[in-house]
Amino acid sequence: MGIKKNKNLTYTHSGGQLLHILHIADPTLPVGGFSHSNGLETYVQQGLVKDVQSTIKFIKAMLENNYKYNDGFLVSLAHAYTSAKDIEKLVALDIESHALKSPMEIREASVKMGTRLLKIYIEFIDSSLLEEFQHQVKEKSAYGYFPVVYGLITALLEIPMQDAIASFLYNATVAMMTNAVKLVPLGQMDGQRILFGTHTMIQEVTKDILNLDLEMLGLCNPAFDIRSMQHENLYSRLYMS
Amino acid sequence: MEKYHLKTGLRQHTILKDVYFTPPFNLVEVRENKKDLLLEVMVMSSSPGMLNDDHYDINIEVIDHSALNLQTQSYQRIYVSKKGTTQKMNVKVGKEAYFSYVPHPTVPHKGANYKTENTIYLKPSSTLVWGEILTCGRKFMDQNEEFTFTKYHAITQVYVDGRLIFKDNLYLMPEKINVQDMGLYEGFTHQGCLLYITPNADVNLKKASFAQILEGVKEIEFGISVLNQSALVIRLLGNSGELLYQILSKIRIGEDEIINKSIKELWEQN
Repeated sequence: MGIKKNKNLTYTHSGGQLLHILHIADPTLPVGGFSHSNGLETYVQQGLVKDVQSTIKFIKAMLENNYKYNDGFLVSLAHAYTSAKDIEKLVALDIESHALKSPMEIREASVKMGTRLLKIYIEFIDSSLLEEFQHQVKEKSAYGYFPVVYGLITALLEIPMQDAIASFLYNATVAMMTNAVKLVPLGQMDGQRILFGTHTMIQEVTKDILNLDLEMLGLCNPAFDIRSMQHENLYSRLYMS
Repeated sequence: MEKYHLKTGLRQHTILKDVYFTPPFNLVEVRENKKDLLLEVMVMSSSPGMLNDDHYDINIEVIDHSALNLQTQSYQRIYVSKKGTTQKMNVKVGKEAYFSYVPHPTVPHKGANYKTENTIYLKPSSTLVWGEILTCGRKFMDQNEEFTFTKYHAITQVYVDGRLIFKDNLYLMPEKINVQDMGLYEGFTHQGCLLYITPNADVNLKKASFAQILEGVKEIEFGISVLNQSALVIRLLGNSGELLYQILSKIRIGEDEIINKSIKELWEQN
């Protein structure tokens, strides 16, 4: 594996990885993250998320009960399978992601973001594993789920697993907070307080993910699934999920 | 280990070909109209529920072109258990075969520790109606037993031609994860799930007709979403096991009737 472009650019060890993390977790990365609310729009329209307190409850529950066992765990597994150069397990994990996400819009959102992320980084990283994965996505024997691709690329960039997980969770939290500021709506400063307040939680969830048993992958959050499914039928929608 | 195995056969209509069970089980054909092509079998049990160390092992094989509906007799009660009670259910559904199963709700009592694994293998031409309902425990006791079970873990995996297409991993440990958190039960006490896979119908039309049944029901929240061009999933939250059972059974019975009619037409054509 090597970096295809900017070969002349030399980083110090930690600095290089830090920049890679900042880049891949940047909310402005053009993967379409802000088109998706992951069910939040339903919660706001139904009056369940309506102020700072209920926004914090939503984000906390998403991180601790959903991301921990689903997308966050998928990032760590994809990262591990990539480090082990195990393309079969990586593809099986991607197929499992598909099987685990029952709301249609959640699946579509994740595949859209994942395939765009793949497209961005395939230009920068020279790796047969990455090419093989992209080939399988093209051939439709894999889908390209966002957390799987995120784990794959962060491993190839030699970003340590826990930084990969934490940056993924941070990116997801920024998206939730930004959407809440727009939808609820909340003040900009409220949003920043919420975000800063999640830092410890993100660290704890990351630590938990590193010790999870495989049988905990994909735990169902029935109400999150239901509200995400109900989003398909909302009368007016600003978001795709 | 307690077990029952069932394999269908095919004559003019679907028959019970091989059947094997150990106490407390008994499998009984309950097809009311003997002319019906769909085989209806009820699992009876002489036990009040799953007790300490019980391990149920269930195998169902629905051979090509046959149609089976498997029914339960009553709610499945799971009693207090330190080591834990477990169940494994394997289902194989053949080509152009039909299997429907909407069991009574599961009731994990105070201290229950339960793990169940369902694995279903389908062919692209198989039809499946698969429902599951979980209650919070004994709700109307003097001493309220809502969510006082220790652990409930149910993993359901569905493969079509060897490829995993649906996986549900339901894990509840009320002491560790607050079930009333946003995203989990949100104030409800019961949940249900129904997976419907059909190669023969327009899944979007099915979605609309199932939604119509669900929209008329009060005091539930539901979501319904299409998995692929031949599958959809329904998720339900409610406060009554009986109500959720009635809703999912209504859908199941509707599909049983359709399959009975369509097999009949096929026979008449040939």
